This record gives sequence, structure tokens and C-alpha cells, in this order.
Amino acid sequence: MSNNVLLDVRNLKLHFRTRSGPVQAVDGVSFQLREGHTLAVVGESGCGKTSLAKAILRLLPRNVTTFSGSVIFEGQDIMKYDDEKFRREIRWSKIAMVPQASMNSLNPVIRIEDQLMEPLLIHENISKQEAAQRVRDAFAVVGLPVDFLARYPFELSGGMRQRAAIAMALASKPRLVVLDEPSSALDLLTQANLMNVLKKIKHEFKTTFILITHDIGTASELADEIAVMYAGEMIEYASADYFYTDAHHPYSQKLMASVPTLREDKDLAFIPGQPPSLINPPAGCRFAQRCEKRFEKCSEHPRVTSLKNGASVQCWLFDEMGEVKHA
Amino acid sequence: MPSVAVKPKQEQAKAKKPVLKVEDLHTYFEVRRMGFFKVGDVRALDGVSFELYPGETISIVGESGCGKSTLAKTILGIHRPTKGKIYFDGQDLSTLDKDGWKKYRSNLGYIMQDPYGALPPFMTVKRILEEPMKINGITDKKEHAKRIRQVLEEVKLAPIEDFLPKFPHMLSGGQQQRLVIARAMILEPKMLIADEPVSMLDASVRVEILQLLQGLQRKHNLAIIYITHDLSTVRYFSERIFTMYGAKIIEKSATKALLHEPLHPYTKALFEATSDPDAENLKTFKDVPAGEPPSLMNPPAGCRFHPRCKYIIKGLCDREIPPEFAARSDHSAACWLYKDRA
Repeated sequence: MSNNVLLDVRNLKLHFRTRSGPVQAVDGVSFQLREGHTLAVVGESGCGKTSLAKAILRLLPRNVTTFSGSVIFEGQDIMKYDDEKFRREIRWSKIAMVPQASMNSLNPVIRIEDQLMEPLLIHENISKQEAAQRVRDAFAVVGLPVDFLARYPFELSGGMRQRAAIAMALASKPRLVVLDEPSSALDLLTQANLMNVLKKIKHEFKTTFILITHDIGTASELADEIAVMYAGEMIEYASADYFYTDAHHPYSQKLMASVPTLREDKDLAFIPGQPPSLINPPAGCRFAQRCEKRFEKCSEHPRVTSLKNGASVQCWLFDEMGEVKHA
Repeated sequence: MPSVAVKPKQEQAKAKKPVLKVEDLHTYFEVRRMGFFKVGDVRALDGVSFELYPGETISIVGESGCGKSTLAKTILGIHRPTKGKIYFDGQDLSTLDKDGWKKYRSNLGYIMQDPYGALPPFMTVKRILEEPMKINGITDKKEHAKRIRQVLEEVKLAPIEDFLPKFPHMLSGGQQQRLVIARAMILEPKMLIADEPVSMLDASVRVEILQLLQGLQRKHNLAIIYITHDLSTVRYFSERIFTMYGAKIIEKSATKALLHEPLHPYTKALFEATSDPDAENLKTFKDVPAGEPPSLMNPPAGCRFHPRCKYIIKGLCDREIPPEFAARSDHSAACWLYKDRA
């Protein structure tokens, strides 16, 4: 795997306007993703994971108030592109997305093949035959029999439709694929089979993935890096090796402690309280109210501290490089 | 043919009478063409037997369409069984009249998967909790207030006065589920059926709800049927685990025995498919069977898992339905691989 940085997100903000005030769904997120790597973005519902994906792909609803920061993709700041240029050059041709519950988003009255060819015919100047070939290749990659292409979506099972949706994203040969909860609506065995397929694609084609999930167990199947989001902020970013053995942020530690495990017995603990409202989040650390390790400094907004092994954490406990100041 | 069907029982439970006994339960749904011609049955539940003791939790695991929710709904009386008997406290449910059913249902609490969908959006917390009492003939206002206070304390919705006038949409997911549990507990039932109670909740809240149920169980000596597709929660929460596949229970086991060694190839596959958070997972592929669960209208002959099973014994598994073989005193599997171990 190369060490080239494919995606560099800096201080990305996405705020929405609602009747009760502006919602800070994504608030100052920065991270880098290397080519061929998979970043798993984990966090609880409402923490801004999906909004982050939508902000990268610029799939924005109409009530956006703030959309700022920079998204540097292949060395270009794609935030500076106008909407038309972004649509023509980036979305789906270079960055594709498999949205949540996409298996249910296929049009029931159009054959799978025609649906999968559509983005290719729109985005790339190729003939129908070429497009059909590309779609057949993508179908083979996700492990579906090619004759299923002639079927309608209702003739396929849930797992197969999910694979078809992933094939649709892969057919345009994008460099980055954003997967939003790709397996959470599927049964256990189907989910495991799908993770096998994604792993195979990752190994064979060196595709770069952003995997958005609430399931920390499943995330470990694919992730090279883990990013934890809480209340619109990315509070920890670390390599998977590092994160699963030694999470740093108090929230990450608590989150790991709340995940039941099949193979080992551990004392489960839940996190008391609730995440803050994103309409008027606290000025200091957003986790402070629920944190057992809080101290005076936590009323100020924490800085992002870089630790060894390229990890970073947004918490005052680690303000001096990798050193715990107050345990 | 050695067909020993030993029912695994807990040591301490042996002396007690079961609160629920299910015998050879079948629930079929008719499929009609043009609303008139019967073309067949969907065998949603095809021969299920077990006993449930007070203070015990049985987990029923399986994938969607395996019949686990049909089992819950048949026990609840939402579906009438096609064949077989259900006994509650020794009484046969098929002999109950209207009042008998009402009394039976008041002894049963039901916790659903989606808490928001299970709560009427236009009722306040207070009314939601009063409703079951009114229906079951408890009219005393003081009794209402006393019981509401008690259950809300038990499910830790405090301060109680703040919650009483709230509507369901004003509560968080975890609070909604706690309200659903409070409603299930208000008639002081002997048994709870929890159908995927935490699958729609966030990880940090899941444990809280499960520990809450466990606390209620200890306090009231409740029998609980916990239905889930998530194997990783069952070890923390149940004494026995049943695995369902294709409308049948294919493995019955004490939790510890199952975690030590799952017997049925399908249960093994479920174990393999469950990911614990571990960075090592990235390096290996999972060895799980491809394919889909069988059609319940035309289930395969013999063992219903045989088309996906890698241990298939040709000529046996695809012809004859495996009986329950007891490999150990607390562990049995409906699989021909264990015919000599019984």
C-alpha cells in the first residue's frame, strides 16, 4: 500500500438551520486518509457521522447555514469547485457513496442492469456495450451471478440487493468509496459474507474506503484507522491496532467498555447521561458532563493533541504530547 | 435409531414447576391465491417444545425469518397455534375463555424492538402507564399513582414528576425503551417476552437496558424470553440459549456450555460471523456458509440446514429430519453429527 494521502480534510464544518436554532452537525473535523486504507468512522446516533460523509460528497440539504473548511482530494481542494464541476468531476466518478439502506433505494420497476449502467452513461462518455461490460465486472467483484443483472430488485434477497448497490458504486471505478452502515440492516451470516466481499475488494483493488458504522465490532473487520465522533467533533483518530488495544479519549474507552463480546467475558458498563444537544453545545469539552476524569480545564474547548503512532485525541488529559497530565 | 430428547434443565430449577411449558408447537400461515384457493402453508413455527422456569432467562437466537418472533407472538396469543399446546402455570391456554385470556395476558409483559413505534404518540407517560390498569379493572386512583411511582422508580425514570406529563417524542431512545419496560411491568407480570429489546439502541444504552431487565428479574423472580439476533449480548444475560433455524429449535444449551463449544454447524457459523472488536479481524476472512435460509413454504427434506452445511452426510442429512441428540446433560443439538454422542 502506498503512503500517498488521498483525502485530507481540514476543519470541515457543516451547520444546519432549524426552527430551534443552528445545529452544528459537523464542527471542525480534520483528518487524513491514505490511499488503499480504510477509515472507520464510529459513534452513536446523532454524532454527525452521516453528515460528515454528506459534507465530503457535498450532498447537502437546503437548510445549510455554514459549509466551510477544505477537502483536499488528490492534491486539489475540491471545496473550491463549483457545484457543476463537482458533479461532473468528483461525485460518483472519483468519490462514490453507498448510502444507508441503499438496498431499498433501487427502483423496483427497472432491471438491475439498467440501474447500474445509468451513472456510467451519465458520468463517462462510453458506449452502452462498454457500460454493460463494466457493470458485469463489478457484479462479479461483489460475488453475484451475472445473470441476476436481468432481474428486478424484488427478485433479489436483501443481502444481494446490498451487494448490487455496492457494485453500482464500484462500477465507475472510484478512488474513494463511502459506505454508510453497509451491513447493519442485514442478517448476521449475510453481514459476514458482505464484509468478506469488501475485504476482498480492499485487498485486490486497493480501494480506499470510509466506513461509517455504529458497530465497533464490525468496523474492525475492515478498518486500518478508526475515527470516533462525538457531538459533531472527531475526538479521537488512531490506527486500528492502536485503538482496539488502547483507546485514549475517555469517551472511546467507555464506548469500548460498553460493547459486549462473544469470546471473552468482561464487565460491561454503560455511559450515564446523554450526548449534548447540537443546537447549543457546551463551550468546553462536549463530553465533560458525562466524563469521570473531568477537571477545571475541561470548561475550555480542548485542543487536538497528536500522539505517537500518528494518533490524535481531542482531550485536555493529553495536552502534552502523549503525556497524561491528570489521571 | 438413538433418539434421546433430554431436556436441559438448570440444577436449581429442577425442583420448581415451569411457569411456561410449550409442547410441539406449530404455527402455520395459509397462503391463498386470489384470496380464495389455498396454495400452501408458510410453516413459521414447526414443532417447538421447551419449558421456562421462574427467575430464568432463555435467549432465542436466529436470523430474520427463522420463526423467533412467531414463537413470541404465539405465546402471547396474537397468533393461534395450528397444533401443539401451551401451558402457563400448568393451565392449558386452549381451554381459556375471554376472561381467562385477559388474566393470562396481564401476567405477561411484552417488550418490542422499536420503542417509539410501541408507544402511542398522543398519550402522556402517565396515561400510557394507566391504560393497562384501567383495562384490567384497577380503578383506584391511589393505587394507580402508587404503582406508577413504583415502576418508574424501578426503571429509573427520575425525577418522576418531570416525566409524567411528557409525550413519547420528548424522550430519548433509551428512555422510551425504559417506559416500554415500565408499561410491561405495571401489572406485575410473572413473565416477560423481550423481542429484540436493544437492537435499535446505541451501544452505550444497550447495556443499561439489559442490566435494568436483569435487575427487575432478580427482584420479581421473572421468567424472561429474550429474543435476539446478536449472540454477543446473550452471554451476559441468559442461563440457556436456544438457536432457531427454519422454524425449528436446532440447539438447546446452557449458556456456558454453548460458549465453550457450539455443536450445530449453524450455531458454529453464527459464532464465526460475530465480530468482537479486535484489530486482528482485518487480516482474516470469515468462514461462513453462503446462501439463504430455506423457504418455509417448501422447506428442504431432512435437516433444513443441509443445503448450506459443510459437514453434510449424504443420504442421511438430506433425507431424514434429525431428532434432538443430547450430547451432554445440558446441551442438545438436532444434528446427525451427534447421533453417536447421545
